[in-house]
Amino acid sequence: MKRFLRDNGLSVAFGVLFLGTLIAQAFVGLADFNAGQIAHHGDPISLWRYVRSSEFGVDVLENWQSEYLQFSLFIFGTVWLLQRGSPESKELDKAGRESDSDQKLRDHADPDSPKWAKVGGLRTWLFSNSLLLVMGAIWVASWLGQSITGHVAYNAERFDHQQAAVSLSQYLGSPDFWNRTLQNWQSEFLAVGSMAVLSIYLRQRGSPESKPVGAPHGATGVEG
Amino acid sequence: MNRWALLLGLCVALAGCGRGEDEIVASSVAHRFLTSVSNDNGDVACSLLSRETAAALAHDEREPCEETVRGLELNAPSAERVQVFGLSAKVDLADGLSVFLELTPEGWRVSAAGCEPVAGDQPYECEVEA
Repeated sequence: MKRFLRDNGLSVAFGVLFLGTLIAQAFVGLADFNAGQIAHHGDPISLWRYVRSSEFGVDVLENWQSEYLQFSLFIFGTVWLLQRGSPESKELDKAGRESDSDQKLRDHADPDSPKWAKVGGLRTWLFSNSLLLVMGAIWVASWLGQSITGHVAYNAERFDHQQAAVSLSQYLGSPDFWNRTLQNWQSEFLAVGSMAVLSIYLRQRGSPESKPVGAPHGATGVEG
Repeated sequence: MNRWALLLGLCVALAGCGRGEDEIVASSVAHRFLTSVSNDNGDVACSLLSRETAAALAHDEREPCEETVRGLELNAPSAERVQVFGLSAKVDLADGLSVFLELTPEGWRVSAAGCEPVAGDQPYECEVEA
């Protein structure tokens, strides 16, 4: 058990943090929702009803989609885009998809390389892009989920104000949908951009997200 | 068996399964409310209003809700379309008017009735509302 935790500390710690904060969000989200109900002379709802509601769904999914978009774009963009001095960037002469030799593909694979890196064809192409494909698919799925739950929550609010419902396609062009989307996107892009730049000049001893403390500011593609 | 139980759990978790039932019940409550008003049955009509709407009706007219609803001129035509979104529903009637409902701990209750669409994106004009 101790060894398992040591070998998987990062995923276990963030898994626990995710579940803890999701549960906390459910409780405070319910309190916020019920405060709104009372303010409008409505009736409070139960926790079980709230976690099945579109209001909770859209609040969760609008953040999920932006996080997966952020990492998908980062994975994709860093194939070609470089940043001199940043540990988030490859070395300056390695822009692009790199050679089979660099990537240990097909005849250049090591004996312990994954099978799909060796076999060639569609399987090697799929495996070569699998991280981006899966992260991108989760982004699309969670953005779709945001649009569906957001549509329901938006129309519920419109009915509360005796307004007609809008269709899903109308909702996808609405300020509500794009405000929820863009407010999350801008914060993700800011965080990634500032991380890429700040890590040129700043260090965190022991972290692979930083260069070694003594590395020069101009050193690129070096992780500590 | 386990696979079906999982699917059912997912379906319930995504809140998609009860929607058809909500549409039937919301439509039925709207119809019972309108029929009660048409028949001057104030007790039943007021019991089908949301607390806020019943209180607003009594307050506006300075009479008990049961007396006030007797003066309403609402018909009970058939429902042409029912839409349910979360805790809110709207029933469009054959005469062009609509009824809005909300889901309360007691079930679906009418929050506005005799509602006529207004040009643009303005709220409907309702004969009964909170």
